[in-house]
Amino acid sequence: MKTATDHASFIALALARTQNEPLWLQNFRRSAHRRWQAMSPPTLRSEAYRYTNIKPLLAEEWGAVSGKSKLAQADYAALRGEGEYCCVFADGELVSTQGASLPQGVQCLSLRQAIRSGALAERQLQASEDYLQLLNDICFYDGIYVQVDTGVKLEFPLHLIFVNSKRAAHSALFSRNVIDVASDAKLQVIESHYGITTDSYLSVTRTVINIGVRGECAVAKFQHEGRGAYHFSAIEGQQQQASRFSLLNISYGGQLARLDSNIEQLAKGAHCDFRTLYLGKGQQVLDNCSQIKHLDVEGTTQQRVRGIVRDRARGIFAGNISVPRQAQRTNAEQLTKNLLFGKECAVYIKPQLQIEADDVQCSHGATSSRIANADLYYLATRGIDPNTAAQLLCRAHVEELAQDLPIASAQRFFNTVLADFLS
Amino acid sequence: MPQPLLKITDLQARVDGHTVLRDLSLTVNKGEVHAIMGPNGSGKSTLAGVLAGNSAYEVVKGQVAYHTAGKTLDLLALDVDARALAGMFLAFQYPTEIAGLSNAVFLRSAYNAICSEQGRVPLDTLDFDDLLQEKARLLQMDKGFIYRPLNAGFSGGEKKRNEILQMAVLAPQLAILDEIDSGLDIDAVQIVAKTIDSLRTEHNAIVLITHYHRILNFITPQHVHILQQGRIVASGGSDLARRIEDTGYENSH
Repeated sequence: MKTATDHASFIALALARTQNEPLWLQNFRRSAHRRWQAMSPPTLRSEAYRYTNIKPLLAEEWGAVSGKSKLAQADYAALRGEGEYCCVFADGELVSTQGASLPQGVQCLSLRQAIRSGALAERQLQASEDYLQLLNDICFYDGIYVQVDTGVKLEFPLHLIFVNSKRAAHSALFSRNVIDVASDAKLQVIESHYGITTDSYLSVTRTVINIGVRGECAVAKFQHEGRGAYHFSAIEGQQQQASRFSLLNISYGGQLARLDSNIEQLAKGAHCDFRTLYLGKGQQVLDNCSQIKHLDVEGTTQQRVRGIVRDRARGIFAGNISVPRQAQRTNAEQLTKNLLFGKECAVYIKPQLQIEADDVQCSHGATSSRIANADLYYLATRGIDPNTAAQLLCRAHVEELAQDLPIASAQRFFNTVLADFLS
Repeated sequence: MPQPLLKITDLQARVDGHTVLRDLSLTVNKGEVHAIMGPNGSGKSTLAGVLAGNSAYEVVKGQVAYHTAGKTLDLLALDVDARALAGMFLAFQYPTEIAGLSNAVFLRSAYNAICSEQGRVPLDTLDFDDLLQEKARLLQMDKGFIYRPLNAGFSGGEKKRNEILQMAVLAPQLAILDEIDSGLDIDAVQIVAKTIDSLRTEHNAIVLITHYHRILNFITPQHVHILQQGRIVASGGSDLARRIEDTGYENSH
């Protein structure tokens, strides 16, 4: 395994281009660098990476992206939806914004701009404790900064399209998104990660969201990286009183992809709707970790996870919902269901509820199974061939997630990846 | 001149090593309704399962010839879906529940598979919805019912109606109805039975498996067979069913 210094070249490059940043940011990065150097990379013995082996990616020599982007609109046109405001990132760098104009009270800047203009505040960057996300702290270059002012409701989605091309081959990419939704404001964000190269690259992204009192934020994350990609992302949310946060996570691409989603409900009556769909094939490893903390009374969480794996793919779900003593009258539900095709695929499930409060309604459940022969037989007696039957049953397995999506236009991603997976 | 649709000869089948059907022979002609009655464990559902191709049953010997579109098929050699595409339909005693799969989506897939097999143009969603709603009206089924997940959360009676809805939509040549009347109240039996009766034509045939006579008050079979210990021990007209009601199976032959 490579040591920390083996990666010094791309870290040095990343640090070199941040020299003109505010001092607090340079200090933030240096501090992260020191902690990262002192840290050992996680192994299969580390609880958080028990099923996800990152040894292969640590063994690769990653560089930084160089040269000019040759991205054409046609490369990502299929991702765009009607009426969206799109921010397109080519190999980690914002290259264009397109679509509907933003109303007053919505500020949307590239992270570079936000740093230069001073819009990005130190409090909006929380240091990570994760080995790969610490690399993001050191190296993040671009991303998006969004501020939705009090009472402003953006009725169309803001679509962040991260396209990774051949230019990113054997490179490490780091992006950071900072989103603030003020009190009584509303925002929908689609975060698409799309690879148009089969080469390997490392993409480490982090999105930090703050939602004010009665604010609403819906995020749809669509991971369709290239076949050789390592994709590590984190979505972190903090919710104030009576706020609503929803996350639809669709994980489909990459050779190894992981999402760590961490939500804290800081005040009374916050609601969180979590939906995860992962579809693994070949030798993919799709890892989905979540941590939802109820820190005040009357919070609610509904978490639904559906996975389908085939070939030699691995699906992982580790979800923790914690309800400490002060979080009375919490209502939390976590349900994960997985479907396996074939004998060599596997799912690893670790559902957890940590409850210290005594007046709560919490439940969790987890299943993993193969398609029931009785179901296939029933469909066959109606003339449906085994292949079509399997497709219908897979669709049925995940259908619940597609109902009443907080971002209606995310439906097409759902349908696209599912059709592709089942084809 | 009767035209045979199904000819079962000396059929023997077993489940988990136990012989359930013994040298069973039966001919079903087009335009006929056959009622198969018998006590619990007599092999009625096994016969239905064997004909539909359920792999839980092992056919030890015998032949089943199925005549369709001018050809004679060895039914036992066909896959389950191929049997359905050839015009066979089994209404289940215990229909499978599939959460997440809408009744309408499922049934359109089935309908269009059969259309393709028969060289007909498949229906799009809108046209199929029209067809589905028309058939649902026959069974006095609520419109919303047809968009619900397949049998999931349905009552016993709703499941049985849904089986007949499928039969009405798929218009099979040979329908095997396995205890379609069980779990239905008397009004529902009447609606289901009348719908089945309305689907009879001179080109199709129905094999009605039942314990009780009451459904036969609404569908008059030309032939009634009593199955006991895997054999047909008595055959007759519809009066045989009435006699069973009075005397029980033990005294039927």
